[in-house]
Amino acid sequence: MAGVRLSGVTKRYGAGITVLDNIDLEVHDREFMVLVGPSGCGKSTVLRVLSGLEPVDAGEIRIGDRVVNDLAPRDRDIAMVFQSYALYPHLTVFENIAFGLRVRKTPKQELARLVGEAAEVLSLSDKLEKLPRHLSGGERQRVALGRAIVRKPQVFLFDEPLSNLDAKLRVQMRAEISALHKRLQITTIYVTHDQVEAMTMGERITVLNGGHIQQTDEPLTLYNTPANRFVAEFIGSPPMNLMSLTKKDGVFQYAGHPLPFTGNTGAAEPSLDTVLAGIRPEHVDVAEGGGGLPAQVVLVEPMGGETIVYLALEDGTRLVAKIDGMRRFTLGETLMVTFDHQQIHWFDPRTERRISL
Amino acid sequence: MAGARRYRTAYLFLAPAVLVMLAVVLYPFIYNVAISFSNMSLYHLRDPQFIGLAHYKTIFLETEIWGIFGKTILWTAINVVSHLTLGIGLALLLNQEVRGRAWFRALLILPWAMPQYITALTWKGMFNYEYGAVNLLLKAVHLPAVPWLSNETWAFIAPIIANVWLGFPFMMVVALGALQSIPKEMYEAAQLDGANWWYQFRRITLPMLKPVLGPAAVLGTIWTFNNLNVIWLVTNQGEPADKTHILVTYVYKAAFHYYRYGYAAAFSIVIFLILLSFVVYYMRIQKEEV
Ligand SMILES: Nc1ncnc2c1ncn2[C@@H]1O[C@H](COP(=O)(O)OP(=O)(O)O)[C@@H](O)[C@H]1O
Ligand SMILES: [Mg+2]
Repeated sequence: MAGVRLSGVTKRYGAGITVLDNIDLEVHDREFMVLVGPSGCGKSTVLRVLSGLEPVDAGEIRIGDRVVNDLAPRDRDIAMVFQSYALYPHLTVFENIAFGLRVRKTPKQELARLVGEAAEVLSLSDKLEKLPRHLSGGERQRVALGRAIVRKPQVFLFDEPLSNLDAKLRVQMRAEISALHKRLQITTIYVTHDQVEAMTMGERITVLNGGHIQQTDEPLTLYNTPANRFVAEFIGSPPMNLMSLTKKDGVFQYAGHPLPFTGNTGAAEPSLDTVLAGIRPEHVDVAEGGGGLPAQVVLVEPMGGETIVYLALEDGTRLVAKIDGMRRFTLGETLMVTFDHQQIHWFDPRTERRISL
Repeated sequence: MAGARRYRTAYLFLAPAVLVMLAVVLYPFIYNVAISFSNMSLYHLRDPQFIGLAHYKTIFLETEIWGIFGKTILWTAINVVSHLTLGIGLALLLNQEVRGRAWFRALLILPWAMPQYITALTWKGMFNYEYGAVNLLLKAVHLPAVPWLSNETWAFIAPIIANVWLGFPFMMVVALGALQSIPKEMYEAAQLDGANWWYQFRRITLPMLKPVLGPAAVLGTIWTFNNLNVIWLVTNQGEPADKTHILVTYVYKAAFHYYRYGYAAAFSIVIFLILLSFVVYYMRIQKEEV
């Protein structure tokens, strides 16, 4: 058992491209850490330097109490599940799972027992003699998991393991992987570009963008207090609405309208002339009359329990609102929009960092 | 009937190809079988008579044939094994991230791109005892000159060298293509499991090359077994004293130097049957594996 710590890790490809820029990341012993970010932000690279498949240009990597910078991949005691599964097509399920044990010259009986156990956990016991090409996508995924868990490593790395599965299977495997972690209690770093996966699976989440860590926090903390504009927009679906407000007569206004806040508006005056206001779709309130910003309904997506309503303000700015599913809307209808002041996230438009008003 | 009408256009399109195949493959084959039962030769060119299996009997009774057969097996085995090892070895090197990889690749394919007979004649020149490049090189490093084309053993080794040179690029290209289609993650997964280079080569690379290199090796075996040009040209038609023949060069000489048409035809059938049983055997093995 071991925690993982990256300190000041920098990775460059060639002279120009800095893929990871001074990364500090601590994953606690037995923790399930999700690393989330858009495609190309360096998630896989974090796993690759951690596993030793790529050397780092600067910084220190610790697994447990060992600095592993100069250790070969095999000596780091890490198992990785690849996005493509990387199963050996010419080997049976048994041999695929047993591969790492055979490399380590595990005695025959021990090997059969360990593979049997792993197969049992993953409900693969009756598939052991099959070749990967005769398995379904979900079964292949499980074989890839089996290959990782059979060695009982100190750390698991997952690189977008569910992205090749269909939506239903993905939800199911999500739960299975979480259950597997509860059972095995092995420190895990799980990479995904899918914020829903991140929110549902992570004990903590690290948001990565452009080779920089944006924020590391528990899922709800991340959702409720995003550290900057990027995190605010990346986490949550549909994404947070962002409006640029300008101060006029000592009050922040949107396109000439004072913002129609409900609730307490008695915040301290900021030293800024403009701010970004972030409002989650579920915190946008609409009414057929009364005060507020007038907005036209341009698209309605009824989901049953709730309805996603896309609105256009008078200047064309789009707003997304998540409304209780019982209400009905008609296209072109004009609604009055109000916001709960307590629920607004404020960002400095220059630094894009979170500020409080 | 509806089926026949439905496929009529398809058959029509196929017809020219089928006709050509019948004319250049099937007809000569049947003709060859026919004259293998006759005494057709320079004496009986116009009036061949049916003599049954007489030629086949001669072939199996000639003691000399078994030596030639053995040599053919040796020739084929040494060549194909060398082609495969050299081809895989070079493909492994070319599959690395080396500078100027494209140049090396082009250079290494060159022997294959040359017309075979030009290469064969060039090698023959290089094996010349007094003026050939090979002996000059040996002399330069103070090694004795080798009687490449006059000694029975050396005269068999010489065409093998020439044919190894000619044949490895094909296997290299095939192996390289197969190597490039093996996903990098398979090696990375193995690396994390602690597998060293040799282990990865044995347990991943070789098995994954097999589906491609297997058929290529079968083709190579057939081509090499039937390779007339190289031996014929490098050894100057089986010199010294017809001691360097493989089956095809022997047949060729029988047919076109000694005009023993019936005999050569029967011999060709024997060669055909040998290769046929080899291919059938290979296909059976392959079917068992799947
Ligand atoms: N071997 C490489 N050479 C050059 N650039 C690379 C290499 N591997 C990855 N990159 C670049 O590094 C960036 C991060 O890649 P990666 O970690 O795979 O992103 P992610 O997994 O988040 O999608 C990408 O812009 C990618 O183009
Ligand atoms: Mg990736």
